[in-house]
Amino acid sequence: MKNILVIEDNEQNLYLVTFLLEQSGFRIVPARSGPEGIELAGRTHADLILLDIQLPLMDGYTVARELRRIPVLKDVPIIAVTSYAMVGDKERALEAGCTGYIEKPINPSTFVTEIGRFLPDDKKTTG
Amino acid sequence: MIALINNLPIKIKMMLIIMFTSVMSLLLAGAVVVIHDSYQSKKDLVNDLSSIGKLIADRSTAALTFQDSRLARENLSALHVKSSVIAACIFDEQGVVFAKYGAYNDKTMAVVTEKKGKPGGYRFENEQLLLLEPVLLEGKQVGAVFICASLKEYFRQRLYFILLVAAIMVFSSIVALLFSSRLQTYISSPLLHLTETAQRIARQKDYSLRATGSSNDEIGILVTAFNDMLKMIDTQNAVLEQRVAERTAELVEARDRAESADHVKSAFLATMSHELRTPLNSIIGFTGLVLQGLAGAVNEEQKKQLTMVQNSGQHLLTLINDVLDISKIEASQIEIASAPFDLAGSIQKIVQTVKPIADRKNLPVVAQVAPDIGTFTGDSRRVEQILLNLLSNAIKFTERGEVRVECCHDNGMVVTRVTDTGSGIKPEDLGKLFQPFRQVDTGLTRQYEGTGLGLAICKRLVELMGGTITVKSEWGKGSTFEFTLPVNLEQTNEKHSCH
Repeated sequence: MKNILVIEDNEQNLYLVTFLLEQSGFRIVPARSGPEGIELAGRTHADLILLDIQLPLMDGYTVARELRRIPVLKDVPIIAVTSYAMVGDKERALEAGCTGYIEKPINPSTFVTEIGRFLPDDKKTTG
Repeated sequence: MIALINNLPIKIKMMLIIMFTSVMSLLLAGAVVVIHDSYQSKKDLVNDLSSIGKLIADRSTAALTFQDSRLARENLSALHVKSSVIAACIFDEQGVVFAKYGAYNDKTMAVVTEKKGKPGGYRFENEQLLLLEPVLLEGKQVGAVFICASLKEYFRQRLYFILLVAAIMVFSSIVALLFSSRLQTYISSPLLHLTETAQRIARQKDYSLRATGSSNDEIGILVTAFNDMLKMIDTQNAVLEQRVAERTAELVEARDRAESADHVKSAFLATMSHELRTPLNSIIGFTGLVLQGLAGAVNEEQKKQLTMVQNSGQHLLTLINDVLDISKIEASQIEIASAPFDLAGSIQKIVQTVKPIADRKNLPVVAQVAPDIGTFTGDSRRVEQILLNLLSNAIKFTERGEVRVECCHDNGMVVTRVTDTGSGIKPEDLGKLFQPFRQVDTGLTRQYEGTGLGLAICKRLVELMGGTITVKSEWGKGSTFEFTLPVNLEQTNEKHSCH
C-alpha cells in the first residue's frame, strides 16, 4: 500500500483529497501545517507528498525546500497544489524542489490519475 | 574704435572722458592766448618802432632842410637803443639816401629803393619788419625815414611763450590726470564694488552677501536696489527651500503611504484569492465527488441539482478570478511570462474545452490554423485565457451558424480571429465593449451570465503582450474579434499566411 503525505491546512480540502485517494487504495498521512508535514515526512515512508502552497506559518515553497534537505526524501515526488496559479508559480514550485504541479479546484474524475502519473513504480493507478 | 572703447573698464573710460575734456579746453585756451599774444606783440613791435621812426623823422626836418647829413646821422644813431634794428636810412625829397645807419647792404638797399615812394607804412618780409615814416615840413613831405628791424627776437619770444604755454598745458594735464584718477574713483569704485559683489554672488551662489555704498546719488540708489533684490532672492530662496522641503516630506509621506497601500492591496489580493477560492474548491470538489457516485448512488434529480451547484460554483470561481485579474492588471501587479509554446496546440486545447458547450447548441466550432504558426514565444496561459474568453463569448451569443477561429502570420504579427454568426453588437455599443464592468445591452443579456470583465481583461492582456485587439460587428449578423501578438525576434523571416 502506497503512503501519501498530504500537507493541507483546510479541513474540507484535506477530507476531499483523503476521500478520493483512500478510495483508490492509498494510505493517507495528513499534516495540517508545514512544520508538521516536515516532521511527519521524516518519520513516515511517504511514496508521494501532496503539498498545498498556501499554508499558514510556512509557505509551500519553503516547506518544499526543507523537505528536499531530508536525505530519505531525495527521490520522493512532491506535488504542489495551488488555486488559480499565477505566472511564475509553477516555476517557483519546481525551483523549490517540487516534482509536479496540480491546480485547484481539483477535478474528482481526473485527480487520482494525475497523482498516479507521478508515482514511480509499476503500481500506477489508472482511471 | 568704438568697440575698443566699449571694452575698456569704466575707470579708464571716465579718465579718458575727463582727460579729453580738460586737454581740449587747455588746447583751445592755449591757442587763443598764443594767437592773441602774437597779434598783440606784433602790434606793440610796430607801434614801438613807428614811434621811434616818427621821432627821428621829426628831428630830421632841420637836417634835411639844411642838408646837414651829420645831424641826420646823429638822429639815426638814436636807434642803437633798439638792438633789433638792423639798418636805417633817411631819404631826401628826391628819394636819394641822405644818411645811413647799421649794416646797410645791397639787399637792404634794394628794398629801400622799392619802398622810398610810399611812406607811412610797414610790412613784414623775410623775418624783418620794414617801416617807412615821412619827414614833413609844414605839411609837405621833404623826405622819409626807413627802418629795417629783425624779427628774430620777436620770434624767440613767441617761441618762448608757446613753450611756456605748452609747459603749462602739460603740467595742467598732469594735474588733471592726477585729479581725474582720484576723482573717478568716487564713481567707479562703488560700481567696481557692485560688479565684484555681483560676480562673487554668481560664483559662490551666496545670496547673503551685500554690496556696500553710502552715496545718495544714482549709484547709491543702484546699490540699495541691488541689495533689496538680493534680500528678496534670499527670502524667496528660503521660502522655496522650505516649500521644497515641505513638499518633499509630503511626497515621501505620500509615496510611503502609497507603497504601503500597494502592499496592503497586494496582500489583500493574495489573501482574497486564497480565502475565496479555498471554500469554493471544496464545494466544487465535493460536488464532483458526489456526482461521480463516489460517495454512494445519486438519483437523477439529485444529479441535476448537484450539477447546478457545480455550475454555480464554477461560475463563481470565474467571477472571482476575473475580479482578481482586473484588480491585478489595474494595480500593475500582473506578470507576463515569455516562453516558447505551441500556439496551434493551445488553440486546439481551448476549442476542445468549449466544444461541449457548443455541442449543446449544435454549434460547430471550426479552427483554421496556418501551418507556419509553429512555436510562439509568449505567455501561454494568458493567450489561452484570451482565446477561452473570446470563444466562450462567441458560443454564448450565437444560436445558429458557426464559430470560427483562425490564426495566421501577418507582417511580423500573429493574428488570431474569432468569428461568430451570432447576435452581433450595435455600433453604439462597440466603444464601451472593452471597458470593465460593462455588458453590452444589459436588458437583453440578462440571459447570459458573465462578469462583464472578460473583454476588458482580454484587452489589457493583449496590450501587455504588445498587441492590439479589435472588433468588427454587424447587428444581427455576427461579430469578429481579432487580436494580434508580436512574433518574437528569432522568427525574423517574415511570413504572410493571412488571406
